[in-house]
Amino acid sequence: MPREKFQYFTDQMYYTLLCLTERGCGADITERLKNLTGGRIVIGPGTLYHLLELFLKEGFIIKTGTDGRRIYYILTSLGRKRLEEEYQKLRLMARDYEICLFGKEVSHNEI
Amino acid sequence: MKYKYIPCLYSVGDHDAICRMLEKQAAKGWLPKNTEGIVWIFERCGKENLRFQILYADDQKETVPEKYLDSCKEAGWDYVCPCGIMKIFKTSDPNAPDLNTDEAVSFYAIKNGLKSIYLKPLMAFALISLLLIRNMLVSCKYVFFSSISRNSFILSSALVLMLPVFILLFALSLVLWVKRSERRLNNGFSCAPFPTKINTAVCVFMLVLCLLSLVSIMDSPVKKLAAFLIFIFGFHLSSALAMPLSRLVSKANQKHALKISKALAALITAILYLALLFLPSAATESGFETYTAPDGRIFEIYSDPSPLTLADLGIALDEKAVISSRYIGQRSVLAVYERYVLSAITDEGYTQVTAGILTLPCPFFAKLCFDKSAGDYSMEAYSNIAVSPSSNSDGTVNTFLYRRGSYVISFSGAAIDCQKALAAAESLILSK
Repeated sequence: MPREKFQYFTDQMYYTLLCLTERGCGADITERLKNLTGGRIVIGPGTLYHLLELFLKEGFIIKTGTDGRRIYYILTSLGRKRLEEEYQKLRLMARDYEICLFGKEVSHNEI
Repeated sequence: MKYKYIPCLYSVGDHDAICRMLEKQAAKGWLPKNTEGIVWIFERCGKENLRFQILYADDQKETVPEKYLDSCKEAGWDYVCPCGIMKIFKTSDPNAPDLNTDEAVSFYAIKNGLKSIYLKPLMAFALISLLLIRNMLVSCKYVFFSSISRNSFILSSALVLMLPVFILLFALSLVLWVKRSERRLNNGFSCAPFPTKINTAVCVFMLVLCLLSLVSIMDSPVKKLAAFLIFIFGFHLSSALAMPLSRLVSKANQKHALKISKALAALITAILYLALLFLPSAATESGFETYTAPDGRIFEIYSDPSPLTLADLGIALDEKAVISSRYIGQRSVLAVYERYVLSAITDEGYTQVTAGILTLPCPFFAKLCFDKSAGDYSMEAYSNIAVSPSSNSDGTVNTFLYRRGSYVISFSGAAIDCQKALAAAESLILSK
C-alpha cells in the first residue's frame, strides 16, 4: 500500500507551517525562522519554493493576497491540525526520552 | 570555438551527477547556455571553480518566479539557464548556503518532475512497442517472407523485442528508486542513491538501438556504413556545411541565430540520410530464388534489392495504368489495397498485367508507399491469383510485383495477351 505523503515531517516542513500560523510571505518565513531558532534551522530558497507549492497542493496553507512580487500565505485548519499532530508526536517522544533516561514519571494529563 | 555540444544522458532526477558534470565543465571554461533534448549547449567563458544547484519546476514551461530568483540572488546564487523542468543556478561562493536544504522536499519535487517528463513519452514508447510486436507476430505467420529475408527479419525482430525491454528497465529503475526513497524518507533516512549507471546504460542502449534500426533499413552494406557515418559525424559535417548560411542568418537575427543554425544542421543531416536511403544501390543481391508454395507448386522469384522509389513503382502508382483497385481490408496497422495495372509492353508485343498489393499507413504516404510490409499480404494475393482461371493454364502468366523491406519482388513468367490480361483481371476482381 502506498504511504501517505508527509507521514514524516522534516524540520523545515514543521517550521514552515509554524511560521505561517500568522499571515506571511516567503521573506517573512525566513525572518521568523531566524528569530525563532536563532539560525539553528535554515531553509534554502529552493526548498521554501517547493515547500510552499507542496503545502498549497495539500491544502495546509492558502494564499491570502499579493503585494507586488510578494505572495502571502496563512495556515488552514487542515494545516493547523497536521501541525498539532506533529507537535503531540514530538511531545510524546520527549516524554518517553525523559522516562527512559531520567526515570521521570509524567502523568498523561501533563501531555 | 564559442559553443560546444555535449550529449548528456543523465536522468532528470540525477541532480548530483548533473551538478558534478557542470562543475567539471565550468573548471574547463564552459558554462551551460541551453539544452536541446539530450544535447547540452555550452558557451565559452573564463575557467572558474563554480558550484551548481538545480531547482525543479513542476512542468517544462514553468519559469522560476521572480521572487524566488531574488531570494536565490540574495543567497548568492545566479540563475544560469533552464533545462526542461530543471532550473540551473551557479555560485562562485563556496560558503553560499544550499538552495535545497531539505532532502524530502527535493525528493517530492524530483518525483513530480519525473512524472511530468517521462510518463507520457514512456506510455507512447510502450504503445509503439506493442504495435511493433503485433506487426512482428503478424509477419511471423508468413513463412514465405521470413524465409526470403531471414537475416533482416531476425535483426528487426530482435530490435523490436529489445525496445520494450529497455523501456521497462528504464521505468522500473525509476519506480524502484522512488519507492525505495519514499520508504527511507518516511523512516527518517536520506533518499536512496539515484540509479545513475542503470539509467545511463539504458539510455545508451536505446540510442544504439535507434541508430541500428535506422542503419539497418539501408539496403546494402556500403549504404549501411555510410548511414552509420552520417549519424556519427553528420551533425558536425552539416554544421560546417551550413556555416555560411548560419552566418548570414545570425547577422539578420542575432537572437535566434543558435537555434536556426542548429535547425539547419539537423535538416542537412536528415537530407543526407534520406538521400542515402533513396539512392539506388548496385544490384548485387538481385537474382532468382525458388519458393515452394504450401500446396507444393514451385515458383521462381526474382529479388531486386534496389530501393523503392516512385520511378521503380511509377507504373504501379500511375493512375492511368490502373485497371482496378480494391480495398481488401485492414491488416495489422495498414489499410490494404489490391491493385491491377497495365505494365510495360514486352518485346513480343504483349502487355503485362501487374497485380500489386498496396498498403497505406496514412494518407500522407499514399503516393509514396508501396509499403515495406506489403509482402505480409503476398500469400493472400498469391492465393487469389493462383486460383483464378487465367493463371497460366494456357501458357500465360501473371506478373506479380510487391515489396518487402528493401526488396522489390515479382513472380514472373511469359507475358500474357493484353486483352486476355484485362479479361482475367476483371473476372478475377468480379469473382470476389
